[in-house]
Amino acid sequence: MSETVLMQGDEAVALGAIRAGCRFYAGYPITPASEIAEVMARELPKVGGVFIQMEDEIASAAAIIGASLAGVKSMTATSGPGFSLMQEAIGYAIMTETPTVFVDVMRGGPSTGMPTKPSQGDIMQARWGTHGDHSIIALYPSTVQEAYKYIITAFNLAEKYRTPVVFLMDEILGHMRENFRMPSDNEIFVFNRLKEEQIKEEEVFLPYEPEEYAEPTPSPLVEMGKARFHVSGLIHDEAGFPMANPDVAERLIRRLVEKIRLHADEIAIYDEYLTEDADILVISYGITARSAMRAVKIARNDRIRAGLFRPITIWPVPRTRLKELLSRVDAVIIAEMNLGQYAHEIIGMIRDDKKVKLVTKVSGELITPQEILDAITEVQSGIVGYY
Amino acid sequence: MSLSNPISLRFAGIGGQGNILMGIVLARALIKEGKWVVQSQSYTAQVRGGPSHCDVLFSEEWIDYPKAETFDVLFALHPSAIMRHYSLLKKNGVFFVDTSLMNMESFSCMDPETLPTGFPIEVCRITRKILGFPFTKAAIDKFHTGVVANMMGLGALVRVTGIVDIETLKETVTETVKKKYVNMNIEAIDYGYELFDKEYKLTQRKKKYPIGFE
Repeated sequence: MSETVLMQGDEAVALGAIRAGCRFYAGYPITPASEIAEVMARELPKVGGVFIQMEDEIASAAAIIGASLAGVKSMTATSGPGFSLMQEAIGYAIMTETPTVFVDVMRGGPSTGMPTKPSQGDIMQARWGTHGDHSIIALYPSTVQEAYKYIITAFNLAEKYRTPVVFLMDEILGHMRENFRMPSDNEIFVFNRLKEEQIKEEEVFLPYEPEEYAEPTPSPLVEMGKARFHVSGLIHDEAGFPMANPDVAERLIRRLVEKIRLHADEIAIYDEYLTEDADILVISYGITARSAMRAVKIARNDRIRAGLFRPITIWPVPRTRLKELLSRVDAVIIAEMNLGQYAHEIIGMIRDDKKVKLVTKVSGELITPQEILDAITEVQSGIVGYY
Repeated sequence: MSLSNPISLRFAGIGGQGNILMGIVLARALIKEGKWVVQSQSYTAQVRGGPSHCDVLFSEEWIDYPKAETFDVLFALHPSAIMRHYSLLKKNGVFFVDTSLMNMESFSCMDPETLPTGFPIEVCRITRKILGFPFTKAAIDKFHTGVVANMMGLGALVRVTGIVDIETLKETVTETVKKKYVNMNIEAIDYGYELFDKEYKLTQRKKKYPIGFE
């Protein structure tokens, strides 16, 4: 058992990324994600990695895609304004099926907004920020320990499904420090790329072959220097060469979406607290889930049967489990630090006879347990009726 | 079921005084003693001279909600922090004040005449556990630099509240600060430790939530 230390959220992400095998970081400093770059600049050279500060976020995003195609796992980190600039590159990474990790430590927006205040305003941008039909994987941890754990998962998912993965955090989680225990080697799993010797010399390598890569999962990218293939953001065939054929286009776009949609259950990570007998389900994620947990504990003390569902993979939505829970409960409360971006997605899954209440906040302050508790009691009095 | 709230401390001052370092050192020391800790901070774009504060929460159990609305201990390193934060102090909480810029040797709630200008009388209605000392001035006199005022403050805080062992604190400082400043910081902690002979123990109150008429 290793020792418990005090660790910052941003620090945990950077160290976790290195543990996952990240050896290239390109970024541009921005509050509240600068600490990730700081740690990367200090730690990457020690393990033979490369840190580079680019001229802006557009170049940073492009650089990590290049690095990943050249054979190393790569990452960048930014906040809302920079994440907006990276959207075009995210689209390129989706189209070229390049494993990359984009960390977005969310701050108040739109635009420059509130640099030192938290927000969860980039939930929809993470999903639909780039143009065109696509799928995305986005993770959002709640504690510093989880930040370390799930950044490794983010790298694994990126490699496994050959897609960019968005790793969401917020200013509070990024800047706060709390107890942290470094996991031992047998507690973590790292997904590695195909080794050179695993590829047969005479075989034709078709990186975008649907049969091979749609089921069961797309195959991992090879390490640098072996298989040659063409990379293009244009609609391309199995070999990667541009081809403006309607059939090819249809097949490609559908496959890009399906490869994540069909594996949504495998990808889904979530956490539940007292949901077995819950009448009221609180849905919250990231840092607000911790307020929600407190509120649920207090509600349980008052014998209100509340429970908490916390999606960790924000995208794809853990739909199967969520639908199961939603059909059982009487009321749903959704708490998030934006004006209902995730609620928009969840409300579509809820039947009309259920009571739904949103707890939203955009003031740059964390939602307090009291605010969620007020919503729970209000909903509860609606269920039991007034006397 | 009873829920316990973590014990909360806030170090407030202006950027550059080291109030965030104070929180980090204390949080590390608390972890060494096996506590669950959350340390968070707030600062503005004006990094030097702008308002800044650092919160430390600790508990015997895992801390779910990482923020505190009221504080058991408030440490004001600068007069401007008093007005900004005093209302967040819990009833009978411990209030440390750096009086260096307040032109007052000592003051007491019993005699409002002794209160420095700008010191809100309302504080006396919240708590009588007010501990004032010109930390910065003393640091300059003794160590020829004001930077160790925060460590003096930590020494005093540990003596009065007893939240961590002084040896744990010194050990943490030795690991945290640059080697060449270690001795100065340790001396500052010792100096602060001797300042007050009061003892205000902090207890983690278990909040009972009543259920109906039971």
